[in-house]
Amino acid sequence: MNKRHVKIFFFSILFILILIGLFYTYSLVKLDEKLHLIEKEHEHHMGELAEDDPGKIDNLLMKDLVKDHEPDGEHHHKSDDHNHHTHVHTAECEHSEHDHEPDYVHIEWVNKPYFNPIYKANLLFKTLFILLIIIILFIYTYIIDKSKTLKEDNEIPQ
Amino acid sequence: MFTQIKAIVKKYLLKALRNKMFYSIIFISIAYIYLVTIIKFFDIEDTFQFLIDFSLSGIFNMGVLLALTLGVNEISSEIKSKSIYLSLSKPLDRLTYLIGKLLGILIVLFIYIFVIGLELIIVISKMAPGMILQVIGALLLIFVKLGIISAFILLFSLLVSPVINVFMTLLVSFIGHISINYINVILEDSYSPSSIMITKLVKFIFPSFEFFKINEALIQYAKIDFMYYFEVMLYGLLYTFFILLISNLVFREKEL
Repeated sequence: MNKRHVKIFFFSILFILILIGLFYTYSLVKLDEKLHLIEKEHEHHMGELAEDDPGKIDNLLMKDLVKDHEPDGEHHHKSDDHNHHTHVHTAECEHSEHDHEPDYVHIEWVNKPYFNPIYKANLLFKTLFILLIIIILFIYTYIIDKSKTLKEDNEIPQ
Repeated sequence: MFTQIKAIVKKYLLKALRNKMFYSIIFISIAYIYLVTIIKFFDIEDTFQFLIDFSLSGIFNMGVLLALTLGVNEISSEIKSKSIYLSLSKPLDRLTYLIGKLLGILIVLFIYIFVIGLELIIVISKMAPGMILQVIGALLLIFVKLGIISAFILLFSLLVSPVINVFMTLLVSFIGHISINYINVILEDSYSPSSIMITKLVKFIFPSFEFFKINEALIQYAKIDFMYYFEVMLYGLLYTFFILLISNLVFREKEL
């Protein structure tokens, strides 16, 4: 294969990969927007509904997490400054307005990849993406343009 | 191929284990973990949370320092002293040479993580025995993360001078640690959508170190699924190999 064609092939594959990356990033942004909208909607209904809204994202995620460490029915704050992370909402709780403000710490915690399946899917996608690039780089280095890589490069000339 | 890799690793280890910096960093890290265990700041009651947060971050930062010490001068000094010709004059693929060098660095880093991790686990076993497996998982993730950093150090050592290499490696580490939530929530308010898009693309290309950071979960005594550790390690290993392949492309273009 002509060297110029090889380079065109290589750069076109790189271009396709960048396009996939862009598309993926765009879809992730849209997904995040949807997540924020869902959460905002829950916050909006929070005043009208009972305190322990089972649909709230952090409740869904946190209840399973905390129940290992707190006996059923028992409720306490692990620290005086009302820690979001270790807090389970129950009907008996008294909550201030501040409890439902979606602050950055809260969003950061809810979206941890080891708890949030969307962010875990993000990890798997990245793994597959890298695997694809590795295969392409390998094909390029050892099959298409092997002249510079393989042993012939270091062999003693006849 | 394996014999060649073994020979390069052996040669590298003989040199690296004579480096006094390696022993100094291990000694400082042991002292650091000990100090974190005994010193109480601001009347913090839950020492476990404090210990996990400070020790895991400290182990990673010291590990980066060690990786920089081990790898930043490795290939450039061999090119300067021309000792690289001794290796390359043999029928040796350049990727094999790079794999050998990286494996050498990884073995030294593993010794470091093993020694410091052992001290940390002994301390943790007294405070929260139920969390030992999770802490071992966190230490393994730090090791894989240091592997990615080491691959970047090798790549940059082929391209730039050692000083710039240090800065670029630290920059990669910094970008890798930026959380995607930070971009989505904090930066989105201040910057235009196009610049956010570019930031996200850069974030996509660079390694995602937020997957490796499980300090917050450990602090909350949360149990993480073991499958998650496996997935993150697989990602880390593939990313390291990807950087090695890029380094190989750069290395074979060098006229040596």
